[in-house]
Amino acid sequence: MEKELMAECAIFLEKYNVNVFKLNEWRQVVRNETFSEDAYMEIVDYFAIDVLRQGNSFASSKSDIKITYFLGNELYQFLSSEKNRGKAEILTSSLISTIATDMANMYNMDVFIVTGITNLIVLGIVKMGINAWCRYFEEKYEKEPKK
Amino acid sequence: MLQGTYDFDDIVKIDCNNAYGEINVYVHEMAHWGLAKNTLFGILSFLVKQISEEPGMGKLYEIGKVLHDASERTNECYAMCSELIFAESQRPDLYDGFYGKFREQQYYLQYQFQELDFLMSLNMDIAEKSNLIDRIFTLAMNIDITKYTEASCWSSAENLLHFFLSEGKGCYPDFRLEKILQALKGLMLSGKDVDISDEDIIAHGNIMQDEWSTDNVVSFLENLMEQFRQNSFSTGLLERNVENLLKNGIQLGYNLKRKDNFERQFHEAILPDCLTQKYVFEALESDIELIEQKNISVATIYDYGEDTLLELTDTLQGKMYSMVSNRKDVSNGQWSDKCGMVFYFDDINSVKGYWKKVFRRRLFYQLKNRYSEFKSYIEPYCTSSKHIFLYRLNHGAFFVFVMGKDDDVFFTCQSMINLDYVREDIEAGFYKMVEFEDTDCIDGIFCRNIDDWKIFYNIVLYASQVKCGMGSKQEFLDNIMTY
Repeated sequence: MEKELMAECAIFLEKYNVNVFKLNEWRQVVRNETFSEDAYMEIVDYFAIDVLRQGNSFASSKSDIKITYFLGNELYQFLSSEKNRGKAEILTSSLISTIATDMANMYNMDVFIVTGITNLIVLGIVKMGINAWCRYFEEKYEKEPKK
Repeated sequence: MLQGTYDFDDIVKIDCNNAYGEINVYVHEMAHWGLAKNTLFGILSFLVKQISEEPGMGKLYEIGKVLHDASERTNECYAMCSELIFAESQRPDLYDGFYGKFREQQYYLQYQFQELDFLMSLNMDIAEKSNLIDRIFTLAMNIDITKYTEASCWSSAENLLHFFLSEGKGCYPDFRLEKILQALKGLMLSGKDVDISDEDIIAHGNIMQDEWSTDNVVSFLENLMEQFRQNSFSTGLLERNVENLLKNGIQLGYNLKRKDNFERQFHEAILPDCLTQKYVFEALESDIELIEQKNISVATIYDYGEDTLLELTDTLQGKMYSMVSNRKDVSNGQWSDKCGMVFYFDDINSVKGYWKKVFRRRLFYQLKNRYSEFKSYIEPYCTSSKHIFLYRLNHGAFFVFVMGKDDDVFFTCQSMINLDYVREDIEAGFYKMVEFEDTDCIDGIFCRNIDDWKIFYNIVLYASQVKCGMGSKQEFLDNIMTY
């Protein structure tokens, strides 16, 4: 899954002609054996704002800068629920598509772009491992760990 | 919302809808303009952008993008600092609120401006702080990369990117900015938070810099010319600039094309344009008969010889259609008498020679240029009287309409900041202002019949997209500017 996601993300980022230095940095971070989610999400935040602005300059709003958090939170709620906890196999393309479509509709954003951003976030989760990522998300946003 | 753009070009575009909105948008875009014109890396990016637009030089576009991307954060952070300095100096009472809102903006997060917050909170005189900020960003951008590049670096975007990421890291402005910020933090921790010299920053940041002097700029251009020649890139623009520099030396706000005074250049660089298109856009099939089914009030024709691109606007409904066609089909189309015909062109004589015979009516020529360029361009195509009228779009932008020979009309949209230059020309007799008679909206030159004003009104709507619908004659008259 990791390789497929990487390829999809790269196509998405190239389509939006993102900053070539940031693209290079992103490639290095995802290929690095010691993965840093903070460093990774800093780049993803940059890409998210950039592609959303390119996608529709009319609709850019405060929700743009929070979209990565909103998507991360949706993924966290799903992955940390009692039903799904620890199940790596649930992280499928249809889940990504469902979450992205819901969020795109909710914030009036382009579904293609939000799917691309969701893929970028999911790649980070895959790199880190679901459980480790959930713990990271809980600590970063001071979420009460689910029992 | 997009409010302004600067694309390493010679002008700054401000959205005509927001031309009067927030002054900080002007400040932001003009900061980009200033940094591009007064630093070696800025000049390099500017030149590559200009050359990439020459015929056959499209391969330089990707190289230009690498240069843009290498200095993107530096450029944006400088523009943001300039906005904050402006707010702090002009409206200190509103500064905290402005900064608060600023932190919620996309750019703040995207360009990690939080790393520069320490600069903005320095307890310094505002003039000194502004000076320090100018020096920091100038240092980040003042690097003659031709000293370190081989000709092969310019052969592809990948090669140039590789150069910046390896041996050329010291020439990469965003990397240099990072080092400068670290050096400044170090200097401030050691208690040196006033009188920080360029030498202090260079020594602590461990960076090289090239001075902004005539000799350095000439040698940079000559090196670039040689490296470009080896890659079969056009060097005419570089040669002309070397000649110009050797003759005139370098000035503040070094301008690659003109020698007019700096303040006027600065003002004229701000052009209102339609950046946030509000009209609904639709591409039509290449069938000229489709035009008859639409209520087209303004047809814009991009004349490329045999090929034409049509941009057709229904200002009543706020719709814009595009269509690729050819001269013959467009000539045979059924065009309403009420439709304003606007042209963009490479060769005005070709347009006049062909289209004037086809349409047998008044043609409009839109120029998106600085006011001085507009003025000198239209002169050979106007009679000595050069009748003019000015139309106020909003508090920040106005349209200039000038009568040309053959009853054709030249027009441009300009920033209100340039109104005095037009007024000076009217006063000096370069133009003759017409007067509209109130009841029928007739001036005898531009509008001779009772409904002629509608074409001008539609052209203003098409060019600005500020609104759609049918305006009233009174609204039109109210916005005609009197001297």
